[in-house]
Amino acid sequence: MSLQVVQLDLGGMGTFPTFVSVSLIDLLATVTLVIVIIGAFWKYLSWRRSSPPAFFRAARRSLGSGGLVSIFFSELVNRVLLQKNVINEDRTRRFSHLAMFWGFIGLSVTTTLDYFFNQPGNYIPLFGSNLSVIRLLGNVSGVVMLIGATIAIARLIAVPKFRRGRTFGDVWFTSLLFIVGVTGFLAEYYGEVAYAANPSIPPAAAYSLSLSASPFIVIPYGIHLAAIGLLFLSAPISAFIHVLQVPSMRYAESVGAKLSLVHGQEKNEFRSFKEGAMLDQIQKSYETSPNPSDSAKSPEVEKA
Amino acid sequence: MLIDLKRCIGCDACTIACKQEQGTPPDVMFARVFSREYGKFPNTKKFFLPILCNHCEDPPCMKACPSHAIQKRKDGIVFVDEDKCCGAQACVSACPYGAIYYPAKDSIKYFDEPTEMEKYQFQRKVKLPVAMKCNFCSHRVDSGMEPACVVTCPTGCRIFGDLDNPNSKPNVYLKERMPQETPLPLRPEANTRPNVLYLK
Repeated sequence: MSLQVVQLDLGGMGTFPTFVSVSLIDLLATVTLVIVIIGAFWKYLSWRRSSPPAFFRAARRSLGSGGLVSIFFSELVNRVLLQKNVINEDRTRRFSHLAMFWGFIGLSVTTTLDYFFNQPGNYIPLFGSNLSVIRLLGNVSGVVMLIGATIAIARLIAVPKFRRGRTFGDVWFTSLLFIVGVTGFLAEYYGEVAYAANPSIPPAAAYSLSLSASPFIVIPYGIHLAAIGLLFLSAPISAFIHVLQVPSMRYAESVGAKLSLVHGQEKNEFRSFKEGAMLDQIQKSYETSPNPSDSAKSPEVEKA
Repeated sequence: MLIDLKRCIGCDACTIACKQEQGTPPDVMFARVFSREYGKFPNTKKFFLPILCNHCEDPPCMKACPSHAIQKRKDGIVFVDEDKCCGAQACVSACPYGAIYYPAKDSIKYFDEPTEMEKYQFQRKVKLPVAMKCNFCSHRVDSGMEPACVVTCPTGCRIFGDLDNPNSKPNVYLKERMPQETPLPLRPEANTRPNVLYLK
């Protein structure tokens, strides 16, 4: 199969960064980020409604802001980064979850480093004397994420208990991760081939979205970018939101556990505050509208 | 379920019945009873508040569970599919009523050796620990019986039935005994539309 090498005639339009405007990409990314933040905030508000109102005020009084921050970092390291006590017995699930998580983090770091330390779209050789840490990290992370996503999808398809319980949000999220990984590697491969065949092409051209570039590059790369966009845009309604939701909920429980320790209580204070809220509600309802039959005996008691 | 607070005497029979029926580990109580005294002497009052899973129409625990282990039956009973529970414990935090438990790994039985009841219960579970909650004794309901807490209550303060059916026990109870009373949901601000309602 002969590969049509990139024929990018930028002419007076400059190089890749100006051909596909970086400002446009930044604008789209900002819009996506705003949607994600609004979605996450909406989720937070719905959870906040059901959490006991005075809990965090009491926690701040007892533990201080420093205490809350220290629990936050402890949770971040133990539960989020190391994922201790997050997934019980199922080792395969734990492995695939860790792989997707760390792969995703690695790719996010790669993209961020690339944004700050490399001109957008510039070609960095994968092999050779100047081995790029950024590209190495990106490739390793991509492989790790792809392994995790493949296992997750395979289990959603093949394991009966996951197949029964799967939702569109799960399939959507894991499939997008898989597509992001596969198209990323495909675009990279054909970019490498194109650059190797014609090293004189502008560095940016190997990864351009120019329609005059090879469809082998344009199609995977276009799908890659679209999948990343969809991954973030759908975050509030897909399984992606659990990345924020689960740790923040566990944080509240951990603050409650610490509070119980400080107050010498056995029960988690977060639970105690919920119980208190219900008792307060009933007490208030008695105080505001006392039951007319309070003073009189009920017919059953009278009879007894 | 309808709970008539005027009838509750705080005897905790429901708590014990539930523990026996469900064989829950230490510190896991699906049917708890709280009491509160308020007012200033001599004008003091006391009430008991039995609490259990509210089997909400819009259960936040179900939404929070990343592995969809919490599900809702057609009859409205919200239950944990223990096989699917991955141990994320988000449901514990999400429940506004504190009705979901995740026992610590080292406290899933009372003694070093499991009791006969615990052995029986462990056979039913795929793995422990998992998230645990009241399932309205669905195994009893499926056999046409009422939940253990309901049949055990000596004062009959728990009235169990389909709230949508006008001829069900809760609705008949309401019509006959307290036609002017509107049952209270707990923590309405949580917007969960509970299926356990209280009469004060």
